[in-house]
Amino acid sequence: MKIFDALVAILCLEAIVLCLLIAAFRVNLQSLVTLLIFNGFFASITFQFHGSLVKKIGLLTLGNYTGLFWNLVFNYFSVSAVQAAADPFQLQLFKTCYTVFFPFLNTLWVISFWSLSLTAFRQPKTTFQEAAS
Amino acid sequence: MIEEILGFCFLALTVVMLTYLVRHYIFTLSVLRNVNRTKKAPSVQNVEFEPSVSILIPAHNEEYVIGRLLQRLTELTYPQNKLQMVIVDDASSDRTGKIADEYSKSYPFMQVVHRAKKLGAQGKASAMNDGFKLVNGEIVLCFDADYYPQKNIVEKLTAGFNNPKVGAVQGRVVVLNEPQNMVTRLVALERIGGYRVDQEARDNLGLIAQFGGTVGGFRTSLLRSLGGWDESVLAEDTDLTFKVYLAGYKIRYIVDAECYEEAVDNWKAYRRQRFRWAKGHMQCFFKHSLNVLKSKNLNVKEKIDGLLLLNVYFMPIFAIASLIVGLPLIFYGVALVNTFWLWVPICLYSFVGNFAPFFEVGVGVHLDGRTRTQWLIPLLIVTFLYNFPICARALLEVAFSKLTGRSKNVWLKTSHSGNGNHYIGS
Repeated sequence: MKIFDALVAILCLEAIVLCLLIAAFRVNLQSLVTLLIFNGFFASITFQFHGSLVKKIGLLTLGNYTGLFWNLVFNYFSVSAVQAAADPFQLQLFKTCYTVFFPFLNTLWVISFWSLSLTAFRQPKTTFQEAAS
Repeated sequence: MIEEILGFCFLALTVVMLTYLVRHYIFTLSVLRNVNRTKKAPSVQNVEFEPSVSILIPAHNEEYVIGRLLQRLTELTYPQNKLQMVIVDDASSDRTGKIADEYSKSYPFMQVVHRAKKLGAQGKASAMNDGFKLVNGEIVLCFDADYYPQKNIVEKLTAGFNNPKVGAVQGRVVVLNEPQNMVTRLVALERIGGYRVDQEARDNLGLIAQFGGTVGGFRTSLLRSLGGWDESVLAEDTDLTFKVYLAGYKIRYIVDAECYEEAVDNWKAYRRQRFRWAKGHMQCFFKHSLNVLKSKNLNVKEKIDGLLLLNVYFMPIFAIASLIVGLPLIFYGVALVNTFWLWVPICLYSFVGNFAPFFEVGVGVHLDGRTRTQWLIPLLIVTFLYNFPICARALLEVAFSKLTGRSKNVWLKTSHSGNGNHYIGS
């Protein structure tokens, strides 16, 4: 069972590296940085929770692909918008919106995925016991 | 020239946000490490310290909740011969005073102070000072009327005073009526971030643990020497926090001393409460910032944390200000550093949970075992957006009073409906 776990963990890590490479070379640098920030938060905080390592790495992998998908869609949208821009003013306006919304919207998926993933690590309820008893 | 100034402002705001982001990240890691090492706060079992304790309860029109608290206080496990309770009926126009009188007839350790209409309802600090005159215990603990403490909370809180350097203690506030509606659920998330992670981390790291105005207490002698509660500031708790530290004492945060509060259950009440906190906190910023910097009783890390704590209600304003300053810079392509890199810390720190970032709240919720509550974390963006106009208005009022020298503090009391009663013993 341990060998199986180790194999799954290695496979997941390879998938994460692949995901980062795709983000760097097929999407853009900002997407790579967003995924690295997500990985940093996830690894430093969630990995300290009680739970199996395979589950944690599995969730991390899922998070990376969610982020990659999000950024790919966002990237296609931005490329289409740039091509459709009628004049330099519209283009500049779009670039401004893109710069503002890119990290903001990325934060939203990071937070949503991270907070949902916490559900996988159950912790016995520690507060509120006396009031409810 | 203007572009350079704007660019510099944007960069400066980002550095502030980054500082807070790193601070709260360290807090989160500290609490997680502490949990994994199973280090405990001062526990009741190993402390043989039983001082006389006075409990101070200010109450203004609290007929729906005061009975619940007084009944609970009669059930405390602390020896009753070492307890004194002073209930301040702060010019209530409802049955609060009558309920308190009925309890004081049955329980001789309870005393009731009735404040006259012309003196009363001038704020919590004023009522506390009136009640404090009657206090004769070595330790004075404070509870708001809408709170519901654990039976052994006095033992837990007084255990902290075993260390002579500790001048005050603070227990944990847990929202009682969390399932009531979306507002109470979001307030519960904020409380969890603040009390499960933020306060505990500050206690662990030897920084400025904060007295929250209730579920806590002081050495009576120290509080007398500090002059009691300052009636000129709206956040008298934050004011006392800094007075205690500046006097050379520490505040201990005791995470397992839980007390259940009835949180505000509508946006209007939330706005009024947060406005009072924001304005009071800003008043304390102007009152104590220089003292904190000059103090010889604070070490460098306490000074840094103290200043960051005093600044915290400016953060929603800074976040929106960075957006306003950043937009023209981005539009005209002017930036000292690529704006993407500047936006990241601002988004990560402020937009979801402006006082405790999302990961801090998430870890607190997880450690509390609130599996379903954590799904609501992304919705903290709503409270951030709501806090911006509240904090901006508070800043304008504080700035106006500083410029004109006219200061008028209107205490907007949070009313309690007793809805929390439903969740006790259910």
